Amino acid sequence: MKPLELPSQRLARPFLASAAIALLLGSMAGLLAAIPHAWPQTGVHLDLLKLRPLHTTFVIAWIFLALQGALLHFVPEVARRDWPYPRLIKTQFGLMAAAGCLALGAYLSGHMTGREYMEFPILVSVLIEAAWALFLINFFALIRHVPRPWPAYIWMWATGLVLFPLILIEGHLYLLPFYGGNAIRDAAVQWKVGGSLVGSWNQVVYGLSLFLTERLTGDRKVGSNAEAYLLFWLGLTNLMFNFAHHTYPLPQALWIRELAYAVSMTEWLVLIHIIVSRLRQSPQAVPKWEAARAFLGSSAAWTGINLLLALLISIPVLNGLTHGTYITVAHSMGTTIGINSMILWAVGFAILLEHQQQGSAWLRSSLIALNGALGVFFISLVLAGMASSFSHFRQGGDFYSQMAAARPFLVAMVTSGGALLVGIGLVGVLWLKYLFQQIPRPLGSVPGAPALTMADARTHDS
Amino acid sequence: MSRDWGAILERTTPRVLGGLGALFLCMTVFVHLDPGRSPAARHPSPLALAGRQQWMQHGCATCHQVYGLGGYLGPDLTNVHSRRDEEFIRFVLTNGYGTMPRMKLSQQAVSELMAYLAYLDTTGEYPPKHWPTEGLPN
Repeated sequence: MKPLELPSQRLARPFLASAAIALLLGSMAGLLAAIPHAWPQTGVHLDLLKLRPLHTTFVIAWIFLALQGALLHFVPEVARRDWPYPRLIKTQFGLMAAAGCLALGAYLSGHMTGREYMEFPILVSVLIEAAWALFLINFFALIRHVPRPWPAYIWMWATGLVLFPLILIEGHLYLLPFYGGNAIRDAAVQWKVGGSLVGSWNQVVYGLSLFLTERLTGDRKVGSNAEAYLLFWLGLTNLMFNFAHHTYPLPQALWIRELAYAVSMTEWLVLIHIIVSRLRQSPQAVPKWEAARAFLGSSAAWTGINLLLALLISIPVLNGLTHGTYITVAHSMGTTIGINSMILWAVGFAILLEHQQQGSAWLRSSLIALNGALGVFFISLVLAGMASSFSHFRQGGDFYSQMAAARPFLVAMVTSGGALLVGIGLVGVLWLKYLFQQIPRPLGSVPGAPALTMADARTHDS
Repeated sequence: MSRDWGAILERTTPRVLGGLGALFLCMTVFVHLDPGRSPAARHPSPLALAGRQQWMQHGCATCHQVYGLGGYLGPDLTNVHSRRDEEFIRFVLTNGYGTMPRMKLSQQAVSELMAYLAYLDTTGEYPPKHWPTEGLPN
């Protein structure tokens, strides 16, 4: 697929810029919030009630701002035409920016809802829903021009984008007495929402990964073959039915957790597919380093590692030993950074380095540092979880004994977290640098990309 | 001639999506209607409900867990009401304890939180003795 340069693609830039800023803010808050885990006496000096929601909200904001930016750039390329309603995109960004500022202001002034992962005021959700509605209007108005059969990634984007706002609404049902008046129902729905929300943006991100792989290899079958569709279906069924692996210990109806267990085990198919594909690959000459490929390659490696951990902790007996420990944190951090963020960085640098695929030596070094720090961070969390679980189940240790057992690993976790922040910071600074280097860039200035007006784009033949 | 399975799967996608969507909707309804296996969970007292508001207002989930879900800096509180005596719990809520800061709660707020913790204790057991950890030491 040949790159295009269309006027409205530039509207991706504010999303990409704010995504990087959100990630830097969320990561800094995360490091500060992590310090008391290793050094509890520091907790009195840090306002954890603000830091934790700052961390969770803004790293999630990085994901869905970056994916919006990526789609705004690439969907016109797939459809071979420009966005039909560019003004809606500007309004969409305005609403998202307002939501972000409102959430930030609320946290800094101490106004939280107390609802884990949804600490922001309800007005923030209203703004996000409004922005998303505008996005959906544009998205479906554009993709209807893509001739059938659609590649799997279009279905992944469509299902992820449609389900996200619906599940976000579901996440606010706790305000109703029917839910708030029953702790089991409340927790079950809360974690159903949490699991499915993550699944919805995973669909979009994995679709971007598939699209980028197709683009980098030049092989159109990558996005349209049976494997691509099977990955789509697996992702969708897990989004819909696998949430209850978060809530095995809840005294809810047994069939819910049994269904989740069965569905989660289907992901062994994905892991086996990854391993078999790797084994089947014939050895190739090491290609010249290319930013997008390198980040995508990292995401593939982390997918295998995280999938193995997720599968193991989804097995009920192992879940019973690890639920509520730092192993759960290893899973959430490992997937958010190692899979989602690596894919979004790959996609982002494919946009920002359109015709200079390498990127600077700094970028290469940042990726190496990121992977190294993330490896130590991930292993520390797994070991911390195992230590506390051992202390509890084998030695009958209370909470404080468990924390004492985990402490050496938590010190390693925080220290590597600092290195991780440096890596994320370097990548973020380079991302912004390449982004601002693109401004201003008149149409037709990008070598190899046909410069089109809106009218040209409608009739352009790929 | 080999089949283009990708194209075949793509053609079936709208119908399969419709079916999956319907199943998802049914599951959502069942999950929302499921009151849990503990009858006590369905009838919190007004004081316990007020305690739930206090729990959210003071961000207790930042550090504490219920059923293993929440923060990691403090212990799970699902069954603290039966595992510690009331005097101790009241002392902690009023004065803080160890790394838990003094939350500056009013006596009314403390009573409401105590009621909420007592209610949570009646909803079930964590870690559970049955599925999937039957046989594991507690």
